[in-house]
Amino acid sequence: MYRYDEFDHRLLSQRIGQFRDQVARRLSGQLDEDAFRPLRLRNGVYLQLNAYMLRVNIPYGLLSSRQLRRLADIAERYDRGYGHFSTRQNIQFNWPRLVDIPDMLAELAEVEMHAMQSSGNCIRNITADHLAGIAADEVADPRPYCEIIRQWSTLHPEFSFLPRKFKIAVSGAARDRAAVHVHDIGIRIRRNEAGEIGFHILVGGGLGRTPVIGKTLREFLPEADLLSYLEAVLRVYNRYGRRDNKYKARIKILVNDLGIGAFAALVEEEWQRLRHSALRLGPADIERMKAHFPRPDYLPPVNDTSEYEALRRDDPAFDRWAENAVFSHRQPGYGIVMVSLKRSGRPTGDMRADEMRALARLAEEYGFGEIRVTHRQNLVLPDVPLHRLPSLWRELTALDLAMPNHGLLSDIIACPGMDYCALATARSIPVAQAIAERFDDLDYLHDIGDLSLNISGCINSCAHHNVANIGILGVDKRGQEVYQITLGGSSGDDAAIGKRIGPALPAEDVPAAIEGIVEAFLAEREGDERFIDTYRRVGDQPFKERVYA
Amino acid sequence: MTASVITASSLALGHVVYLRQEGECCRWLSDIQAATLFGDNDLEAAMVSAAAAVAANEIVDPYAIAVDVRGGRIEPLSLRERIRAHGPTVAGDSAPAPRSAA
Amino acid sequence: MPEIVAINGAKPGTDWLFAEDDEVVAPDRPAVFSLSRWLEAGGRGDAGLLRGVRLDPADDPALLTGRLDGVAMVALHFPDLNEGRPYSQARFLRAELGFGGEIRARGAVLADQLLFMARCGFDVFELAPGVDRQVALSALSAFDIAYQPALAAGNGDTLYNRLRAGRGA
Repeated sequence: MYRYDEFDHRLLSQRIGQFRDQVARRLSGQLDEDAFRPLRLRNGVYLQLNAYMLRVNIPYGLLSSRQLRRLADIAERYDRGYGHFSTRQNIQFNWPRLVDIPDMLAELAEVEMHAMQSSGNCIRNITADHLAGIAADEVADPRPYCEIIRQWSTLHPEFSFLPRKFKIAVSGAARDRAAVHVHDIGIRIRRNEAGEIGFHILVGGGLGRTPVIGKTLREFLPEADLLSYLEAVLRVYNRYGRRDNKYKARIKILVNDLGIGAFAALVEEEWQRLRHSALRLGPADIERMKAHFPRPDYLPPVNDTSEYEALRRDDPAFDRWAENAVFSHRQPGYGIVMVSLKRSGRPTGDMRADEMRALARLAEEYGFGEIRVTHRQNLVLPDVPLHRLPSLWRELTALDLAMPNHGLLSDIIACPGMDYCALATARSIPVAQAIAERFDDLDYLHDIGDLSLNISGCINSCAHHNVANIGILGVDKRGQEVYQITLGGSSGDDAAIGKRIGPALPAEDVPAAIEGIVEAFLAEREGDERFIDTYRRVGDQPFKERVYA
Repeated sequence: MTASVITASSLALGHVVYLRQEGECCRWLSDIQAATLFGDNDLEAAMVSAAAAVAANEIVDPYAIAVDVRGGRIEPLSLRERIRAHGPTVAGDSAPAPRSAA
Repeated sequence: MPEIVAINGAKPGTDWLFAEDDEVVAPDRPAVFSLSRWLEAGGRGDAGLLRGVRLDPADDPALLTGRLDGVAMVALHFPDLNEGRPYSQARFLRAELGFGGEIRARGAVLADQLLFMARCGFDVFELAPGVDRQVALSALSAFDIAYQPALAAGNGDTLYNRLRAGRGA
């Protein structure tokens, strides 16, 4: 993974020194809250419902075992012994004290982690396919480009006070796993006919109260032009994005108002000025960055997989896990293991310090000391030799980290909701827990198959409910929490915005409604169709009939 | 009986706090049961005290909330404020212990 | 008089009049005009007169192309601290129009934004009321390095060197 050099350490340490000074000036009253808020936000610090919250970036979802241990230490020393993995490859601590946060940041910096720009109206954490570098369907590894973008965007002097937050995601694979269609800028790495690397640039995707699927801004951007082109897009947005209404300030509104053609023309004009500037990437720049992401020293496949095969034959629980949670690796003899943080009775995406340490140990014993974080709030052990899967499975099972529900109904994305978040209008996690409790029969879950269910506690849509097959949005109706249900959303290559099926329901009716939707699906399903395909074929009528019968 | 209490977040720690008025003296405490109850006629004066605490860099974002008082116990009317008073409602062992009600 | 901080050798000593659009200005009075007044007047100053132009955040600095002769100063306005457009305006004036005069930040100019402003080409800062001069100066030196290329970076560098090229112009 990317290793900081002296320069990176120096910049981060200066940033922490600056924030330490800002906190001191806030506490002494030299800065009032209005002046301090944008500063603390740009260091990942929110003032939430119950406490401050610190959001720490996990750039493009990559964590080392050492970093995960440090997160565990910080959770125990400064927080309440756990962290919450968010939907954008961040980890959030829910209970830090403002006076401690500079120290927390300094401890994170020691392991090359930071919270810069994890919130605020600036370029946020760069996210990527969590299977970067290991997926069998990869065109090129997105991580070197992500790191180039991370550095360019960090404390960018011109783009630190944008009209609104700005999110960039990069996918380098045939199949999109980074939700590039619902980002302000989505980047897909491609190869042209000459075999050269380039980027398909999408712009103006996003969720929130105006969900929009991103539009193609450029089919093929040459590799060398990545930064100059991003700079051009950001400059157009910074100059023309609306600042009079925060609900109309995202780039998607600008793109819609101008039309993609006119927007592209503005970008083009700007880009022609910038294209041959100092931002142009030379082959040596890219090679140097790629050298930070070498292929690990994989061992040749072990021929004796008899234990693995015997266990798959004899132990249905192992067989189910191997089927559901282990993905094919591009390296023969290795597998990719999904570690579910959607466990019965546990808050979605939460992990305790002891569990972090245990997983860090497993990452070292069964891989190369690396862990990935997915935007679906799960973790990944990326490089596990296939013959070691049985013993890894036993260890994960003992830690309650072997739940084989990847991609299934109980693999719910939930935002923190009104239990933690100052913006939320309704709770999310308890609803997710109630649904997961209703659907705790693994046989049934596997029969239902591929299905995404996301729950947001307000219209800001942090849980991406509007691109879930089943989306649930909590709203406040005269002091009561009620939940709207949408169907038919999708966040992958066939990205689509879900459609509301009817009036909102009280929380206690939601699990039964989901049950009705699933029953309608099973009744209408042809063969082993996925939920989304059945929905697209039959429309929402059969589902409405069940829910509002 | 319904009344109002004034809540805020402590600046240095971020904790949820409530205003307790003791004569001329104002204290900001974590326990809602220790909060001073205000009616329509004295709420405005209490908000002046709160503004002074903001200016003194003690608290952030003070506001009044409606509470119900039954059997001597103060309970916020809105769910949002009940969560602030008692902590998250999520189940599971990573959830923090509810804030002490004593 | 606002507290003024200048960097990079800028000399902000002039007693500028920020003239209203209908305000009569004596010819020899150093004056700063709105963009529209400046353009209506032909977009050029007479030799020997000190002239400045002020832009609001929505103004297009490209309108000053070929209209900067005799302009000693451009003032860019921050109506609030979250305003981001003047950063792009300053950058454009320096990098695209090659403006070498003073670029002055006015309005909500707080200590913690100064470094970003400086790296976009501002060199004079009218501090907002209540901002301590010492705090402002120390905020300007919070970083001595940056990831982005400096405004004056040459073309032969590699990204690595450029990214590590240190502070802006």
